[in-house]
Amino acid sequence: MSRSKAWRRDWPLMLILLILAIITYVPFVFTVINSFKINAQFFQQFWLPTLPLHPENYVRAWPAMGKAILNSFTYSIPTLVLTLVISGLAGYAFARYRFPGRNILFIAILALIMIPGILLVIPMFSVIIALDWGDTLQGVVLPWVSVEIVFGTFLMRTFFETLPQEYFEAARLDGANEFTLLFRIAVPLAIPALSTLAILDLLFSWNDIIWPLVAIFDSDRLPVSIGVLSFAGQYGTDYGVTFASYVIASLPLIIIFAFTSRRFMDGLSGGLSI
Amino acid sequence: MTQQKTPTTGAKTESSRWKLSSGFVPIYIPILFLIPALLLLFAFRYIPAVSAIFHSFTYWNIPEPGEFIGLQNYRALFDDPIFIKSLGNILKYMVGRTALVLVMAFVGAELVYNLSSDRWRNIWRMVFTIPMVIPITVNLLVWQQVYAGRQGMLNEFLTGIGAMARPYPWLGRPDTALPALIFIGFPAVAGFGFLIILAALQNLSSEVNDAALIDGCSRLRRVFAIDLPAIRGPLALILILSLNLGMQEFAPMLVMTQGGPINTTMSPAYYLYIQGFTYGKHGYASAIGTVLMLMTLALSIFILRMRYRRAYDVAV
Repeated sequence: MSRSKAWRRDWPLMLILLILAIITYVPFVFTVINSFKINAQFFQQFWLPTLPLHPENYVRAWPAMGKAILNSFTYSIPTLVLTLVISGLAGYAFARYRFPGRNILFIAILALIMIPGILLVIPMFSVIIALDWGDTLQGVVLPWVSVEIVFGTFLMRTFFETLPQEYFEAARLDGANEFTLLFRIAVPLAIPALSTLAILDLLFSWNDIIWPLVAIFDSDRLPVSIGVLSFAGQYGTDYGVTFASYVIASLPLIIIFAFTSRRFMDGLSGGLSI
Repeated sequence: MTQQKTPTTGAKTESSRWKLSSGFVPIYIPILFLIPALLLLFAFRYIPAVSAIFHSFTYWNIPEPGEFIGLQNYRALFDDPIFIKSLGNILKYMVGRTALVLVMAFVGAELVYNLSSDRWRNIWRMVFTIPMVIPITVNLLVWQQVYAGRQGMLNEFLTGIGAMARPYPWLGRPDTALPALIFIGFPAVAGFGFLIILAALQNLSSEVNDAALIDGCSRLRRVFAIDLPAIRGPLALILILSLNLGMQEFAPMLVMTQGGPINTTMSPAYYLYIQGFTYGKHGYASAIGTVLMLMTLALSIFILRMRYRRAYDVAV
Protein backbone atom coordinates (compact mmCIF):
# COMPACT_ATOMS: atom_id res chain seq x y z
CA MET A 1 0.00 0.00 0.00
CA SER A 2 1.35 3.38 -0.93
CA ARG A 3 2.12 5.88 1.73
CA SER A 4 -0.56 8.42 0.85
CA LYS A 5 -3.21 5.74 0.50
CA ALA A 6 -2.31 4.36 3.91
CA TRP A 7 -2.47 7.84 5.36
CA ARG A 8 -5.90 8.48 3.84
CA ARG A 9 -7.10 5.26 5.42
CA ASP A 10 -5.45 5.82 8.79
CA TRP A 11 -5.88 9.47 9.62
CA PRO A 12 -9.21 9.17 11.50
CA LEU A 13 -7.70 6.46 13.70
CA MET A 14 -4.57 8.53 14.28
CA LEU A 15 -6.69 11.54 15.22
CA ILE A 16 -8.69 9.60 17.81
CA LEU A 17 -5.48 8.07 19.21
CA LEU A 18 -3.93 11.51 19.43
CA ILE A 19 -6.90 12.87 21.38
CA LEU A 20 -6.82 9.88 23.75
CA ALA A 21 -3.09 10.34 24.25
CA ILE A 22 -3.45 14.05 24.96
CA ILE A 23 -6.11 13.46 27.62
CA THR A 24 -3.94 10.72 29.13
CA TYR A 25 -0.84 12.87 29.33
CA VAL A 26 -2.26 16.30 30.26
CA PRO A 27 -2.26 15.69 34.05
CA PHE A 28 1.38 14.54 33.96
CA VAL A 29 2.61 17.32 31.70
CA PHE A 30 0.80 19.77 33.96
CA THR A 31 2.59 18.28 36.96
CA VAL A 32 6.00 18.64 35.33
CA ILE A 33 5.32 22.24 34.21
CA ASN A 34 4.12 23.35 37.62
CA SER A 35 6.96 21.63 39.43
CA PHE A 36 9.08 24.56 38.22
CA LYS A 37 6.84 27.26 39.68
CA ILE A 38 6.54 28.90 43.08
CA ASN A 39 3.05 29.30 44.52
CA ALA A 40 2.65 32.92 43.32
CA GLN A 41 3.34 31.84 39.73
CA PHE A 42 1.04 28.84 40.06
CA PHE A 43 -1.89 30.94 41.24
CA GLN A 44 -1.30 33.46 38.48
CA GLN A 45 -0.87 31.12 35.51
CA PHE A 46 -2.42 27.68 35.93
CA TRP A 47 -1.61 25.77 32.74
CA LEU A 48 1.44 27.27 31.04
CA PRO A 49 5.09 27.47 32.12
CA THR A 50 6.21 30.86 33.44
CA LEU A 51 9.64 32.35 33.92
CA PRO A 52 11.76 32.30 35.95
CA LEU A 53 11.91 28.52 36.38
CA HIS A 54 12.43 27.34 39.95
CA PRO A 55 14.56 24.20 39.87
CA GLU A 56 15.20 24.70 43.59
CA ASN A 57 11.82 22.98 44.11
CA TYR A 58 13.68 19.82 43.15
CA VAL A 59 16.50 20.60 45.54
CA ARG A 60 13.97 20.87 48.35
CA ALA A 61 12.12 17.68 47.39
CA TRP A 62 15.30 15.63 46.80
CA PRO A 63 16.49 14.78 50.35
CA ALA A 64 13.25 13.06 51.34
CA MET A 65 12.53 11.54 47.93
CA GLY A 66 16.12 10.43 47.31
CA LYS A 67 16.07 8.53 50.58
CA ALA A 68 12.72 6.96 49.71
CA ILE A 69 14.04 5.88 46.30
CA LEU A 70 17.10 4.34 47.91
CA ASN A 71 14.83 2.50 50.37
CA SER A 72 12.67 1.25 47.50
CA PHE A 73 15.70 -0.19 45.73
CA THR A 74 16.87 -1.77 48.99
CA TYR A 75 13.58 -3.66 49.18
CA SER A 76 12.94 -4.20 45.48
CA ILE A 77 16.29 -5.64 44.39
CA PRO A 78 16.38 -8.55 46.87
CA THR A 79 12.68 -9.17 46.13
CA LEU A 80 13.49 -9.29 42.44
CA VAL A 81 16.45 -11.67 42.77
CA LEU A 82 14.63 -14.06 45.09
CA THR A 83 11.47 -14.01 42.96
CA LEU A 84 13.40 -14.90 39.81
CA VAL A 85 15.43 -17.67 41.42
CA ILE A 86 12.56 -19.27 43.31
CA SER A 87 9.97 -19.01 40.50
CA GLY A 88 12.52 -20.22 37.97
CA LEU A 89 13.38 -23.31 40.02
CA ALA A 90 9.75 -24.13 40.79
CA GLY A 91 8.57 -23.51 37.22
CA TYR A 92 11.40 -25.69 35.90
CA ALA A 93 10.55 -28.51 38.30
CA PHE A 94 6.89 -28.45 37.22
CA ALA A 95 7.71 -28.27 33.53
CA ARG A 96 10.53 -30.81 33.27
CA TYR A 97 9.97 -33.54 35.85
CA ARG A 98 7.16 -35.99 36.54
CA PHE A 99 6.65 -36.67 40.22
CA PRO A 100 3.74 -37.80 42.35
CA GLY A 101 1.34 -35.02 43.28
CA ARG A 102 2.67 -32.69 40.62
CA ASN A 103 -0.67 -31.52 39.28
CA ILE A 104 -2.34 -31.18 42.66
CA LEU A 105 0.59 -29.16 43.93
CA PHE A 106 0.48 -26.87 40.94
CA ILE A 107 -3.25 -26.26 41.28
CA ALA A 108 -2.77 -25.61 45.00
CA ILE A 109 -0.24 -22.91 44.13
CA LEU A 110 -2.43 -21.38 41.42
CA ALA A 111 -5.42 -21.31 43.77
CA LEU A 112 -3.56 -18.71 45.82
CA ILE A 113 -4.30 -16.18 43.08
CA MET A 114 -7.92 -16.22 44.24
CA ILE A 115 -7.10 -15.27 47.83
CA PRO A 116 -7.26 -11.50 48.37
CA GLY A 117 -3.89 -10.17 49.49
CA ILE A 118 -5.52 -7.89 52.02
CA LEU A 119 -6.98 -10.87 53.91
CA LEU A 120 -3.49 -12.17 54.63
CA VAL A 121 -2.11 -8.84 55.77
CA ILE A 122 -3.42 -9.21 59.31
CA PRO A 123 -2.06 -12.71 60.07
CA MET A 124 1.20 -11.76 58.35
CA PHE A 125 1.37 -8.71 60.58
CA SER A 126 1.05 -11.00 63.60
CA VAL A 127 3.91 -13.15 62.25
CA ILE A 128 6.07 -10.05 61.76
CA ILE A 129 5.33 -8.93 65.32
CA ALA A 130 5.99 -12.41 66.72
CA LEU A 131 9.34 -12.66 64.93
CA ASP A 132 10.17 -9.03 65.74
CA TRP A 133 10.66 -8.38 62.03
CA GLY A 134 9.12 -4.93 61.98
CA ASP A 135 11.34 -2.42 60.14
CA THR A 136 13.58 -5.20 58.81
CA LEU A 137 14.57 -6.02 55.25
CA GLN A 138 13.36 -9.63 55.45
CA GLY A 139 10.07 -8.47 56.98
CA VAL A 140 9.29 -6.56 53.80
CA VAL A 141 10.99 -8.75 51.22
CA LEU A 142 9.93 -12.30 52.08
CA PRO A 143 6.16 -11.61 52.11
CA TRP A 144 6.54 -9.73 48.83
CA VAL A 145 8.40 -12.66 47.28
CA SER A 146 5.67 -15.02 48.49
CA VAL A 147 3.12 -12.94 46.57
CA GLU A 148 5.17 -12.77 43.39
CA ILE A 149 6.26 -16.40 43.09
CA VAL A 150 2.67 -17.53 42.58
CA PHE A 151 2.35 -15.83 39.22
CA GLY A 152 6.10 -16.31 38.62
CA THR A 153 5.91 -20.10 38.93
CA PHE A 154 2.96 -20.15 36.53
CA LEU A 155 4.80 -17.96 34.02
CA MET A 156 8.07 -19.89 34.19
CA ARG A 157 6.39 -23.27 33.95
CA THR A 158 4.47 -22.16 30.86
CA PHE A 159 7.72 -20.90 29.37
CA PHE A 160 9.88 -23.94 30.17
CA GLU A 161 7.27 -26.23 28.64
CA THR A 162 7.81 -24.55 25.28
CA LEU A 163 11.53 -25.45 25.18
CA PRO A 164 12.27 -28.39 22.86
CA GLN A 165 13.08 -31.58 24.73
CA GLU A 166 15.86 -32.39 22.27
CA TYR A 167 18.16 -29.75 23.73
CA PHE A 168 18.05 -31.43 27.10
CA GLU A 169 18.34 -34.96 25.76
CA ALA A 170 21.34 -34.10 23.66
CA ALA A 171 23.12 -32.55 26.62
CA ARG A 172 22.23 -35.47 28.83
CA LEU A 173 23.72 -37.89 26.32
CA ASP A 174 26.87 -35.83 26.52
CA GLY A 175 26.94 -36.57 30.23
CA ALA A 176 25.48 -33.38 31.65
CA ASN A 177 23.84 -33.73 35.07
CA GLU A 178 20.56 -32.11 36.16
CA PHE A 179 22.21 -28.97 37.48
CA THR A 180 24.23 -28.44 34.33
CA LEU A 181 21.04 -28.81 32.28
CA LEU A 182 19.35 -26.16 34.38
CA PHE A 183 22.16 -23.61 34.48
CA ARG A 184 23.74 -24.16 31.07
CA ILE A 185 20.64 -24.73 28.92
CA ALA A 186 17.41 -23.71 30.60
CA VAL A 187 18.52 -20.47 32.26
CA PRO A 188 20.19 -18.87 29.23
CA LEU A 189 17.14 -19.70 27.08
CA ALA A 190 14.82 -18.31 29.74
CA ILE A 191 16.27 -14.78 29.74
CA PRO A 192 13.24 -13.24 27.93
CA ALA A 193 10.72 -14.88 30.27
CA LEU A 194 12.84 -13.96 33.29
CA SER A 195 13.01 -10.34 32.18
CA THR A 196 9.24 -10.16 31.78
CA LEU A 197 8.87 -11.52 35.28
CA ALA A 198 11.53 -9.09 36.53
CA ILE A 199 9.68 -6.09 35.16
CA LEU A 200 6.30 -7.19 36.50
CA ASP A 201 7.92 -7.86 39.86
CA LEU A 202 9.55 -4.45 39.91
CA LEU A 203 6.24 -2.75 39.12
CA PHE A 204 4.60 -4.67 41.93
CA SER A 205 7.19 -4.01 44.62
CA TRP A 206 7.57 -0.37 43.60
CA ASN A 207 3.81 0.23 43.83
CA ASP A 208 2.67 -1.81 46.80
CA ILE A 209 1.52 0.39 49.66
CA ILE A 210 -0.37 -1.92 51.98
CA TRP A 211 2.51 -4.09 53.17
CA PRO A 212 5.08 -1.33 53.78
CA LEU A 213 2.38 0.61 55.65
CA VAL A 214 1.92 -2.38 57.92
CA ALA A 215 5.47 -3.69 58.27
CA ILE A 216 7.46 -0.45 58.44
CA PHE A 217 7.10 1.85 61.43
CA ASP A 218 10.19 4.02 60.99
CA SER A 219 9.41 6.85 58.54
CA ASP A 220 13.08 6.93 57.48
CA ARG A 221 12.70 3.47 55.95
CA LEU A 222 9.57 4.04 53.89
CA PRO A 223 9.70 3.20 50.17
CA VAL A 224 8.76 5.66 47.42
CA SER A 225 5.13 4.53 47.21
CA ILE A 226 4.49 5.82 50.73
CA GLY A 227 7.31 8.36 50.94
CA VAL A 228 5.70 10.46 48.23
CA LEU A 229 2.42 10.30 50.11
CA SER A 230 3.82 11.52 53.41
CA PHE A 231 5.88 14.17 51.62
CA ALA A 232 2.73 15.46 49.90
CA GLY A 233 1.09 15.50 53.32
CA GLN A 234 3.83 17.74 54.71
CA TYR A 235 4.33 20.07 51.74
CA GLY A 236 0.79 19.92 50.31
CA THR A 237 0.38 23.71 50.30
CA ASP A 238 3.68 24.25 48.49
CA TYR A 239 2.51 23.11 45.07
CA GLY A 240 5.82 23.40 43.20
CA VAL A 241 7.78 21.31 45.70
CA THR A 242 5.02 18.70 45.92
CA PHE A 243 4.86 18.37 42.14
CA ALA A 244 8.66 18.10 42.03
CA SER A 245 8.46 15.20 44.48
CA TYR A 246 5.97 13.44 42.16
CA VAL A 247 8.37 13.83 39.24
CA ILE A 248 11.36 12.54 41.22
CA ALA A 249 9.34 9.54 42.45
CA SER A 250 8.40 8.64 38.86
CA LEU A 251 11.85 8.95 37.33
CA PRO A 252 13.56 5.68 38.37
CA LEU A 253 10.99 3.40 36.73
CA ILE A 254 10.73 5.62 33.66
CA ILE A 255 14.50 5.39 33.23
CA ILE A 256 14.45 1.61 33.67
CA PHE A 257 11.56 1.38 31.21
CA ALA A 258 13.45 3.46 28.67
CA PHE A 259 16.11 0.74 28.54
CA THR A 260 13.78 -2.25 28.60
CA SER A 261 10.68 -1.05 26.76
CA ARG A 262 10.82 -3.63 23.99
CA ARG A 263 11.20 -6.49 26.40
CA PHE A 264 8.49 -5.17 28.64
CA MET A 265 5.92 -4.90 25.88
CA ASP A 266 6.95 -8.09 24.08
CA GLY A 267 6.72 -10.03 27.31
CA LEU A 268 2.97 -9.69 27.22
CA SER A 269 2.74 -10.48 23.51
CA GLY A 270 2.92 -14.20 24.20
CA GLY A 271 -0.82 -13.77 24.59
CA LEU A 272 -2.03 -14.29 28.13
CA SER A 273 -5.28 -16.20 28.04
CA ILE A 274 -7.52 -18.47 30.04
CA MET B 1 -5.66 -22.50 34.35
CA THR B 2 -4.37 -23.37 30.93
CA GLN B 3 -3.04 -26.52 32.53
CA GLN B 4 -6.48 -28.03 32.89
CA LYS B 5 -6.83 -28.40 29.14
CA THR B 6 -6.67 -31.94 27.92
CA PRO B 7 -3.18 -32.53 26.56
CA THR B 8 -3.02 -33.31 22.88
CA THR B 9 -1.75 -36.66 21.76
CA GLY B 10 1.46 -35.08 20.51
CA ALA B 11 2.31 -33.71 23.93
CA LYS B 12 1.54 -37.06 25.48
CA THR B 13 4.00 -39.05 23.41
CA GLU B 14 6.55 -36.34 23.92
CA SER B 15 6.17 -36.48 27.68
CA SER B 16 6.45 -40.25 27.78
CA ARG B 17 9.52 -40.05 25.61
CA TRP B 18 10.86 -37.52 28.06
CA LYS B 19 10.10 -39.80 30.97
CA LEU B 20 12.01 -42.65 29.34
CA SER B 21 15.10 -40.64 28.66
CA SER B 22 15.14 -39.17 32.14
CA GLY B 23 14.12 -42.33 33.90
CA PHE B 24 17.01 -42.06 36.33
CA VAL B 25 16.38 -38.57 37.66
CA PRO B 26 16.12 -39.09 41.39
CA ILE B 27 12.94 -37.77 42.99
CA TYR B 28 14.82 -35.43 45.31
CA ILE B 29 15.82 -33.22 42.39
CA PRO B 30 12.37 -31.73 41.67
CA ILE B 31 11.64 -31.60 45.38
CA LEU B 32 14.87 -29.72 45.96
CA PHE B 33 13.85 -27.18 43.31
CA LEU B 34 10.40 -26.75 44.84
CA ILE B 35 11.42 -26.42 48.48
CA PRO B 36 12.15 -22.66 48.54
CA ALA B 37 8.82 -21.85 46.89
CA LEU B 38 6.85 -24.16 49.15
CA LEU B 39 8.54 -22.89 52.32
CA LEU B 40 7.66 -19.28 51.49
CA LEU B 41 4.14 -20.09 50.36
CA PHE B 42 3.44 -22.02 53.54
CA ALA B 43 4.88 -19.35 55.80
CA PHE B 44 3.31 -16.32 54.14
CA ARG B 45 0.30 -17.56 52.14
CA TYR B 46 -1.23 -20.86 53.26
CA ILE B 47 -0.77 -20.58 57.01
CA PRO B 48 -1.87 -16.91 57.13
CA ALA B 49 -4.94 -17.77 55.03
CA VAL B 50 -5.97 -20.46 57.49
CA SER B 51 -5.06 -18.20 60.38
CA ALA B 52 -7.18 -15.34 58.99
CA ILE B 53 -10.22 -17.56 58.62
CA PHE B 54 -9.69 -19.02 62.09
CA HIS B 55 -9.23 -15.62 63.71
CA SER B 56 -12.39 -14.27 62.08
CA PHE B 57 -14.15 -16.28 64.83
CA THR B 58 -12.12 -14.67 67.60
CA TYR B 59 -11.66 -11.44 69.43
CA TRP B 60 -8.09 -10.68 68.40
CA ASN B 61 -5.81 -7.82 69.31
CA ILE B 62 -2.24 -8.54 68.15
CA PRO B 63 0.05 -9.51 69.90
CA GLU B 64 -2.52 -11.03 72.31
CA PRO B 65 -3.76 -14.46 71.21
CA GLY B 66 -7.29 -14.59 69.78
CA GLU B 67 -10.20 -15.40 72.08
CA PHE B 68 -12.90 -17.58 70.49
CA ILE B 69 -16.26 -15.81 70.23
CA GLY B 70 -18.09 -17.87 67.61
CA LEU B 71 -20.03 -15.97 64.98
CA GLN B 72 -20.10 -12.67 66.86
CA ASN B 73 -17.83 -10.86 64.38
CA TYR B 74 -20.00 -11.91 61.47
CA ARG B 75 -23.20 -10.90 63.24
CA ALA B 76 -21.75 -7.52 64.07
CA LEU B 77 -20.45 -7.19 60.52
CA PHE B 78 -23.81 -7.63 58.86
CA ASP B 79 -25.34 -5.18 61.31
CA ASP B 80 -22.62 -2.67 60.57
CA PRO B 81 -24.13 0.06 58.35
CA ILE B 82 -20.68 1.21 57.18
CA PHE B 83 -19.74 -2.29 56.02
CA ILE B 84 -23.07 -2.72 54.22
CA LYS B 85 -22.58 0.66 52.59
CA SER B 86 -19.05 -0.33 51.54
CA LEU B 87 -20.42 -3.43 49.79
CA GLY B 88 -22.77 -1.30 47.71
CA ASN B 89 -19.96 1.16 46.95
CA ILE B 90 -17.52 -1.48 45.83
CA LEU B 91 -20.13 -3.11 43.61
CA LYS B 92 -20.66 0.19 41.79
CA TYR B 93 -16.94 0.87 41.66
CA MET B 94 -16.08 -2.60 40.41
CA VAL B 95 -18.67 -2.64 37.65
CA GLY B 96 -18.06 0.96 36.59
CA ARG B 97 -14.30 0.67 36.62
CA THR B 98 -14.23 -2.68 34.80
CA ALA B 99 -16.63 -1.47 32.11
CA LEU B 100 -14.53 1.65 31.55
CA VAL B 101 -11.20 -0.18 31.48
CA LEU B 102 -12.39 -3.04 29.30
CA VAL B 103 -14.14 -0.86 26.72
CA MET B 104 -11.34 1.70 26.50
CA ALA B 105 -8.60 -0.94 26.35
CA PHE B 106 -10.46 -2.63 23.51
CA VAL B 107 -11.12 0.62 21.66
CA GLY B 108 -7.48 1.69 22.03
CA ALA B 109 -6.17 -1.71 20.94
CA GLU B 110 -8.45 -1.84 17.88
CA LEU B 111 -7.46 1.67 16.83
CA VAL B 112 -3.77 0.76 17.00
CA TYR B 113 -4.29 -2.67 15.41
CA ASN B 114 -6.10 -1.19 12.41
CA LEU B 115 -3.25 1.15 11.49
CA SER B 116 -1.48 0.09 8.32
CA SER B 117 2.01 1.11 9.40
CA ASP B 118 4.02 -1.10 11.76
CA ARG B 119 6.09 1.85 12.83
CA TRP B 120 3.09 3.85 14.03
CA ARG B 121 1.63 0.81 15.69
CA ASN B 122 4.77 0.48 17.79
CA ILE B 123 4.84 4.19 18.57
CA TRP B 124 1.26 4.22 19.86
CA ARG B 125 1.83 1.06 21.83
CA MET B 126 4.78 2.77 23.50
CA VAL B 127 2.75 5.95 24.12
CA PHE B 128 0.08 4.00 26.00
CA THR B 129 2.58 1.88 27.93
CA ILE B 130 4.66 4.65 29.50
CA PRO B 131 1.92 5.85 31.90
CA MET B 132 1.90 2.33 33.37
CA VAL B 133 5.32 2.82 34.93
CA ILE B 134 4.29 5.93 36.87
CA PRO B 135 3.97 4.85 40.52
CA ILE B 136 0.35 4.25 41.50
CA THR B 137 0.51 6.63 44.45
CA VAL B 138 1.90 9.38 42.22
CA ASN B 139 -0.89 8.73 39.72
CA LEU B 140 -3.48 8.96 42.49
CA LEU B 141 -1.96 12.15 43.89
CA VAL B 142 -1.88 13.72 40.43
CA TRP B 143 -5.53 12.80 39.95
CA GLN B 144 -6.34 14.25 43.33
CA GLN B 145 -5.03 17.46 41.81
CA VAL B 146 -7.23 16.92 38.75
CA TYR B 147 -10.34 16.76 40.94
CA ALA B 148 -9.26 19.34 43.55
CA GLY B 149 -11.84 22.00 44.42
CA ARG B 150 -9.26 24.76 44.51
CA GLN B 151 -6.58 24.84 41.82
CA GLY B 152 -8.00 21.65 40.36
CA MET B 153 -7.37 20.86 36.68
CA LEU B 154 -10.90 19.74 35.89
CA ASN B 155 -12.40 22.85 37.50
CA GLU B 156 -9.94 25.20 35.82
CA PHE B 157 -10.73 23.58 32.50
CA LEU B 158 -14.51 23.58 32.89
CA THR B 159 -14.71 27.13 34.25
CA GLY B 160 -12.15 28.21 31.65
CA ILE B 161 -14.29 27.06 28.73
CA GLY B 162 -17.40 28.43 30.46
CA ALA B 163 -19.06 25.06 31.08
CA MET B 164 -19.29 25.76 34.81
CA ALA B 165 -19.74 28.99 36.73
CA ARG B 166 -17.81 28.04 39.83
CA PRO B 167 -15.41 25.28 40.86
CA TYR B 168 -16.86 22.08 42.27
CA PRO B 169 -15.10 19.88 44.87
CA TRP B 170 -15.47 16.59 42.99
CA LEU B 171 -14.01 14.42 45.75
CA GLY B 172 -15.70 16.34 48.54
CA ARG B 173 -19.33 15.76 47.59
CA PRO B 174 -21.18 12.47 48.22
CA ASP B 175 -22.72 12.39 44.74
CA THR B 176 -19.50 12.78 42.74
CA ALA B 177 -16.77 11.22 44.92
CA LEU B 178 -17.26 7.58 43.86
CA PRO B 179 -17.70 8.35 40.13
CA ALA B 180 -14.57 10.49 40.37
CA LEU B 181 -12.62 7.47 41.68
CA ILE B 182 -13.99 5.33 38.85
CA PHE B 183 -12.75 7.82 36.26
CA ILE B 184 -9.18 8.05 37.60
CA GLY B 185 -6.75 7.85 34.71
CA PHE B 186 -9.40 8.73 32.14
CA PRO B 187 -9.47 7.71 29.25
CA ALA B 188 -8.00 4.59 30.89
CA VAL B 189 -6.50 3.23 27.67
CA ALA B 190 -3.01 2.92 29.11
CA GLY B 191 -2.87 -0.34 31.04
CA PHE B 192 -2.25 -4.07 30.94
CA GLY B 193 -5.62 -4.65 29.29
CA PHE B 194 -4.59 -2.60 26.28
CA LEU B 195 -1.28 -4.49 25.91
CA ILE B 196 -2.92 -7.90 26.30
CA ILE B 197 -5.74 -7.19 23.84
CA LEU B 198 -3.39 -5.66 21.29
CA ALA B 199 -1.07 -8.68 21.52
CA ALA B 200 -4.04 -11.01 21.10
CA LEU B 201 -5.25 -9.10 18.03
CA GLN B 202 -1.81 -9.17 16.48
CA ASN B 203 -1.67 -12.94 16.95
CA LEU B 204 -4.88 -13.47 14.96
CA SER B 205 -4.34 -14.95 11.54
CA SER B 206 -4.39 -12.35 8.81
CA GLU B 207 -5.96 -14.83 6.39
CA VAL B 208 -9.35 -14.63 8.10
CA ASN B 209 -9.22 -10.85 7.94
CA ASP B 210 -8.24 -10.86 4.28
CA ALA B 211 -11.02 -13.33 3.42
CA ALA B 212 -13.57 -11.17 5.24
CA LEU B 213 -12.30 -8.11 3.44
CA ILE B 214 -12.65 -9.83 0.05
CA ASP B 215 -16.20 -10.84 0.96
CA GLY B 216 -16.97 -7.17 1.44
CA CYS B 217 -16.96 -7.10 5.25
CA SER B 218 -16.42 -3.55 6.48
CA ARG B 219 -13.71 -2.81 9.03
CA LEU B 220 -16.21 -1.92 11.73
CA ARG B 221 -18.22 -5.06 11.13
CA ARG B 222 -15.03 -7.15 11.24
CA VAL B 223 -14.24 -5.73 14.69
CA PHE B 224 -17.48 -7.07 16.13
CA ALA B 225 -17.98 -10.19 14.01
CA ILE B 226 -14.41 -11.53 13.92
CA ASP B 227 -12.08 -9.80 16.38
CA LEU B 228 -14.36 -9.73 19.40
CA PRO B 229 -15.25 -13.45 19.43
CA ALA B 230 -11.68 -14.44 18.59
CA ILE B 231 -10.16 -12.71 21.60
CA ARG B 232 -12.71 -13.77 24.20
CA GLY B 233 -10.00 -15.63 26.13
CA PRO B 234 -7.89 -12.57 26.86
CA LEU B 235 -11.06 -10.52 27.42
CA ALA B 236 -12.22 -12.99 30.07
CA LEU B 237 -8.79 -12.79 31.71
CA ILE B 238 -8.95 -9.01 31.89
CA LEU B 239 -12.52 -9.19 33.14
CA ILE B 240 -11.57 -11.53 36.00
CA LEU B 241 -8.47 -9.58 36.96
CA SER B 242 -10.23 -6.25 36.79
CA LEU B 243 -13.27 -7.37 38.79
CA ASN B 244 -11.10 -9.07 41.41
CA LEU B 245 -8.77 -6.13 41.77
CA GLY B 246 -11.79 -3.81 41.87
CA MET B 247 -13.36 -5.86 44.65
CA GLN B 248 -10.19 -5.48 46.74
CA GLU B 249 -9.54 -1.86 45.85
CA PHE B 250 -8.26 0.31 48.61
CA ALA B 251 -5.41 2.54 47.38
CA PRO B 252 -7.59 5.30 45.79
CA MET B 253 -9.70 5.42 48.93
CA LEU B 254 -6.68 5.56 51.20
CA VAL B 255 -4.85 8.21 49.19
CA MET B 256 -7.67 10.40 47.91
CA THR B 257 -10.80 10.25 50.06
CA GLN B 258 -10.18 8.21 53.25
CA GLY B 259 -13.54 6.61 52.55
CA GLY B 260 -15.42 9.92 52.73
CA PRO B 261 -17.46 12.00 52.29
CA ILE B 262 -19.92 10.28 54.65
CA ASN B 263 -18.56 6.84 53.69
CA THR B 264 -19.62 7.15 50.05
CA THR B 265 -16.21 5.88 48.94
CA MET B 266 -15.67 3.41 51.79
CA SER B 267 -14.57 0.05 50.37
CA PRO B 268 -14.50 -3.27 52.25
CA ALA B 269 -10.73 -3.56 51.86
CA TYR B 270 -10.13 -0.06 53.17
CA TYR B 271 -12.60 -0.69 55.99
CA LEU B 272 -10.63 -3.84 56.85
CA TYR B 273 -7.46 -1.76 56.98
CA ILE B 274 -9.07 0.84 59.26
CA GLN B 275 -10.61 -1.76 61.58
CA GLY B 276 -7.37 -3.75 61.73
CA PHE B 277 -4.71 -1.10 61.88
CA THR B 278 -6.44 2.03 63.20
CA TYR B 279 -8.70 0.39 65.78
CA GLY B 280 -6.70 -2.80 66.37
CA LYS B 281 -9.81 -4.97 65.89
CA HIS B 282 -7.93 -7.75 64.14
CA GLY B 283 -10.61 -10.42 64.56
CA TYR B 284 -13.28 -8.16 63.10
CA ALA B 285 -10.97 -7.19 60.24
CA SER B 286 -10.30 -10.89 59.55
CA ALA B 287 -14.05 -11.44 59.27
CA ILE B 288 -14.24 -8.64 56.68
CA GLY B 289 -11.35 -10.28 54.81
CA THR B 290 -13.01 -13.70 54.90
CA VAL B 291 -16.24 -12.30 53.47
CA LEU B 292 -14.19 -10.52 50.83
CA MET B 293 -12.42 -13.77 49.94
CA LEU B 294 -15.71 -15.66 49.61
CA MET B 295 -17.07 -12.95 47.32
CA THR B 296 -13.90 -13.04 45.21
CA LEU B 297 -14.10 -16.83 44.88
CA ALA B 298 -17.77 -16.77 43.95
CA LEU B 299 -17.16 -14.10 41.36
CA SER B 300 -14.19 -15.89 39.77
CA ILE B 301 -16.06 -19.19 39.56
CA PHE B 302 -19.10 -17.43 38.07
CA ILE B 303 -17.03 -15.74 35.35
CA LEU B 304 -15.09 -18.90 34.51
CA ARG B 305 -18.37 -20.77 34.16
CA MET B 306 -19.78 -18.13 31.86
CA ARG B 307 -16.57 -18.24 29.88
CA TYR B 308 -16.51 -22.00 29.35
CA ARG B 309 -20.23 -22.60 28.96
CA ARG B 310 -20.72 -23.68 25.35
CA ALA B 311 -17.23 -22.43 24.57
CA TYR B 312 -16.13 -23.57 21.16
CA ASP B 313 -12.56 -22.31 21.20
CA VAL B 314 -11.14 -24.48 24.00
CA ALA B 315 -11.24 -28.12 24.98
CA VAL B 316 -12.68 -28.36 28.49
